Amino acid sequence: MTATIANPAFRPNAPGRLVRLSFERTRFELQTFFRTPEQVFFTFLLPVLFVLIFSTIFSGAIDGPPGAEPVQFAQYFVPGMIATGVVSATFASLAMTVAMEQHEGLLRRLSGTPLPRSAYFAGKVGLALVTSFLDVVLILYNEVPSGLKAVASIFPLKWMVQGFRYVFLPEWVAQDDYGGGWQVEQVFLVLFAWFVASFLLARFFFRWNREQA
Amino acid sequence: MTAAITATGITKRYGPVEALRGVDLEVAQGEVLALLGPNGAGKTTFVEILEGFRQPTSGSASVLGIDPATGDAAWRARLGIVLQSAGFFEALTPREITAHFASFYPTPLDVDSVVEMVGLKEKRDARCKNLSGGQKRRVDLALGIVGNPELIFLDEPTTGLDPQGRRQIWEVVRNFTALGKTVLLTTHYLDEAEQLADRVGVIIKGRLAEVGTPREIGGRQRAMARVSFSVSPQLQGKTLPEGLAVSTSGGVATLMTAEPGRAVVALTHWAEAQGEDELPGLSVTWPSLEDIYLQMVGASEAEGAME
Repeated sequence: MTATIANPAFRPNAPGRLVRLSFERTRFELQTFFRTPEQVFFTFLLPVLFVLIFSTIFSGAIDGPPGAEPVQFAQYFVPGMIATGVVSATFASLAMTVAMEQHEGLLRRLSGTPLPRSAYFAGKVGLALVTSFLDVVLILYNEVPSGLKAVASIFPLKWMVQGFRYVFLPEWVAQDDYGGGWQVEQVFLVLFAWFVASFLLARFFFRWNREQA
Repeated sequence: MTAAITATGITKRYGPVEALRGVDLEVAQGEVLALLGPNGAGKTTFVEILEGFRQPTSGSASVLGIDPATGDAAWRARLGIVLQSAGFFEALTPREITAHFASFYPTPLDVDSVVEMVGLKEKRDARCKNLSGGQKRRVDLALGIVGNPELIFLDEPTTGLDPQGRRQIWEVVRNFTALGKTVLLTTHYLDEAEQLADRVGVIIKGRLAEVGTPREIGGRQRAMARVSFSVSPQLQGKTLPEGLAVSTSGGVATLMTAEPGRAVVALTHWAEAQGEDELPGLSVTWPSLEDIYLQMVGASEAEGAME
């Protein structure tokens, strides 16, 4: 019987096979990623949203030595935001999806096949590379329109920052940045409105299960 | 003939719990062997040791000539595994997942024929999250066979399926075994074992209580047949022919005999003599595999109580 003799032509660790399967895994990971709206949202929209909000809240500039062009805060924040985006696209989602796939038994399913472990991780790295590259592009090409300051003042982040500044910074900063006074009452009111509104939204729109409409 | 699977003295201990207490089993190439047993008897643990997912505490195993604990990708390429439950790629379609898994194997089967074979032709492009439990189970089976394995492990392949779905999966398994492939299957359905398996093994409390063909297991061939008939007014209170003793309940008389043919002849003549042309409600039944199985499990439980 020849059935118990392994296919001699099959070399599971041949470099060509590893490369081919790494690309196949990357393709599969990307396909899965772009069909999972939650993942797309947190990887792409969140960093972009943060850049928009930050750069509208902190609208000042850092003065350099005499003669040098001052650096806009918005400009100053972008590298940090890109780093955050890349970290969330790589470390966070990579570590999270591996743990999730283990928990759901997907790893078990794959481990029963001749898929090499290196190709599995190459697929994860491929996904992280592609998504973080897209993240950087999205952040860089999101120039902040000047009129966005009004929009940003709707979000609670601006008010939280203002409240914490009231606690930690001297009074004169308020004169400079907020046209006199920290507007503590307004900070409290806006944050409380957000608390109530988000509680109500959660109460009425939360579903235990994504299927329930 | 070479054995596809050889297990010798396999034990598995989890702390104080002995999940397997010395299992010996040989499965020949091209054979379909079904493992039966109550929940928690050790079926899945045993199969997972053979699949290389778990290490036995002691004992040795050889699957396609290789120790599962050291099996590499080349070995895995010759196996098909359908786990009892495993995660799902919810966002993808049966066709996409099957094609992806096919890419792992050196000589896979044609993806579209596999999807069709498991009965998912209409659903091949539907997202898996929208499939029913039975349809997902078919995807499991597709992933198990797409690599064209020599040996398939099927852990409860039809649990939760409707009767039509079960028959369809049996059909796939039969097509597969017709090609000389080996199948080790666990199941709770006795009819499934009877339909598919060449031999049946019963695992009870971590031991292989018995192995045999579905016809002979548990002394089924030597078992007594049950002959019963309705007690009509003419037959009421009459003395039975010599050598036959019945127990009556609810107007039905039942007797157990190793020679049901003779018993029926004797009873028919006797009934005629009493003025009944025909024995009303006559039936002869042999114990089903299920009866035998339940007897074996029951006997082991009684033993356990005395231990």
